[in-house]
Amino acid sequence: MALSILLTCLLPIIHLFGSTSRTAQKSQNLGLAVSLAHRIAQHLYITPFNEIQNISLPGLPIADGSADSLFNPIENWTTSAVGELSIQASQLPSLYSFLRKYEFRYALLVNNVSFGTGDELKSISIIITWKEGGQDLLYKLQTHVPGF
Amino acid sequence: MGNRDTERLPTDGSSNDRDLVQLIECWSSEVGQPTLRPSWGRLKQRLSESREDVEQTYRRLEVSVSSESSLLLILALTQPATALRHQLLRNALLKLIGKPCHRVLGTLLFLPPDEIRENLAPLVYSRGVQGQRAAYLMARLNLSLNAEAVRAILDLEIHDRSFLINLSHLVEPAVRLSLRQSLLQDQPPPTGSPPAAQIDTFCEYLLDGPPGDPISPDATSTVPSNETPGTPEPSSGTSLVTPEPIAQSPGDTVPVTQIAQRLEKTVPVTSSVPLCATGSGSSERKEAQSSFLHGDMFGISKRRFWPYFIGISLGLLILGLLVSGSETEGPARYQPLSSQAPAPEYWIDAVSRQRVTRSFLKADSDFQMGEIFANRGDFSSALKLFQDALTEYPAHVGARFREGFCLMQMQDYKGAATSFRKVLAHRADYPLVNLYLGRIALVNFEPDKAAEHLQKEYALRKDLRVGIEYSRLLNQLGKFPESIQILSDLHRRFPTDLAVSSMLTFAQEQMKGK
Repeated sequence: MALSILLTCLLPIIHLFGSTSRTAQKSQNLGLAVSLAHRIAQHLYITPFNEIQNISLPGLPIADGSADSLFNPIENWTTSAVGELSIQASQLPSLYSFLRKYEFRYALLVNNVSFGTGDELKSISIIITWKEGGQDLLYKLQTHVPGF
Repeated sequence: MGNRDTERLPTDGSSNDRDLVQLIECWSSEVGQPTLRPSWGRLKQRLSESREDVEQTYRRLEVSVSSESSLLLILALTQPATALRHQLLRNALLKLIGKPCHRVLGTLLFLPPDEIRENLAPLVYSRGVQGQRAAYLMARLNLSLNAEAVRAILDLEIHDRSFLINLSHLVEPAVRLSLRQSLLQDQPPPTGSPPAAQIDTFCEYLLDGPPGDPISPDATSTVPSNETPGTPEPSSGTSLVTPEPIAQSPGDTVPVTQIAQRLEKTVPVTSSVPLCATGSGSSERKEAQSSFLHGDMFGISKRRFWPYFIGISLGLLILGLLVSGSETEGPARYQPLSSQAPAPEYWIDAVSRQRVTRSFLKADSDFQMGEIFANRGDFSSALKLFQDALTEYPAHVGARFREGFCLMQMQDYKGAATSFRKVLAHRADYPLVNLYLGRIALVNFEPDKAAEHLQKEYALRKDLRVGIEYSRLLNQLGKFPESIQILSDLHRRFPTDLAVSSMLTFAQEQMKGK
């Protein structure tokens, strides 16, 4: 009985105050930021070159964001536009709550590099920001999109 | 089970002794009645095989075992109620009385109470801290004294509060009232004098019952039984009632110090004191031995322990669930985030944990574009972008390094060296800076300076290419032993690298020829 009570009490306490849970939580958010940045990068490769525009800091919120073809809509398991799901409280409440809680945003710092006619590329800094533990955190991914 | 005292094992002793000591420690670490522990049979057999004198065996082994094990060893070696056991126990208690730790107390519980009482009770008469410790131990072991003994101890000297509390623990509940009445009815010392105050205080403890747990002689508060009392310092911070000198007027009684001296003469510590103990508290002892928890674990009684434990556990559980819930679930409805919200002054890079400002991000964009031009070999365009980045954010070390690289490629060695030195001022271990500075020094016909830079660069990362370049320079300078040393190190790490092998052979031949 004593052992069961101890385990029942100690497990949530250890989970709550232990360094392991904090580390996991931190890496969970960082991992999400990395995956978001790579999703944006992959999306940029198929975006028409001239449509890649600068999005200045502090960036656009991912939850409750405007229709941007990156995250809103984020998925569609049907064959028509009716099934499109955006990161809204009414459509994807769990994902929305998580992203909104940490205030995930993204920004694109786009620079045009031209080496001559027809030989140009965009140097893009993909920046994911969020709030965690009272700090404004940032993850930056650098990518280049060629113009051809 | 590791034990601090096993480190004192004699290195030159026989393996038989060492095995025996390990067996004793093993037996000591096991739980339960000593004679019912798994190692008891083996230990008894080993001891019975020894043809040595019992006392001699004990003297030889006691220096190598822990305190509690030495007590058990006496139990194993000697027969009950013998003079030898009495003598060994008395000596062991005199040693242990200075460190009444929890394990020693637990071991004492397993010894026959009569023997413990017989050996411990005389020590309560000792003056000073030894008597206090003996009273503390007796109280912790639920032993008791009779009324005459208590009265004699009270007359011995002025005791502090902790000793009086411990002494009140030694009075059986059945005789407390009668003892109190007899103490108060005796010829009282002058009112307000220290002996009178001491008897009044003690009588209060007797009337109300002992206030809490026994008090360790070195502590001013009660010590829970699950804690290990530290080694007490004699009379340092122990006394709550400071003894005061007794007025020596002709009508007064004999000063307490003289009484104490007289009693000490008539009742020597090592002599057989009239047996003052009247009971052993056997029921409490049995309860303590058979119980999973000690009677006053955590400083609260056993009856109160479980309600406390369950209450605190449930409280923590509810707190944990509440906080965990608040971590994973947000409020029912969030306010929408604004895309026009003001940006913070800086961010923390989640990977490097460095501060990132907007000016750094702008400079970094220029730096990234400069990298594209530098990779294509357009060093002048790249240099301009790196310099733009440095104008925006002068502390951008990467841009500074690449500025130096571009200048070096454009054969502006002086400017390149200046940039590289600035990089080193920011980060002394920045990679490749010393390599390029060495190359610039070679261009400027400064081979010793070049060797110095290359040596620094090689020492930082032991890089293969840097090592080869450094060795080549050393060969050119005729420093073959140093070159061979570096090449041997590289050959050991990269045995299939042909450049290293050939250079090593060359250097060795040059060395022989020299």
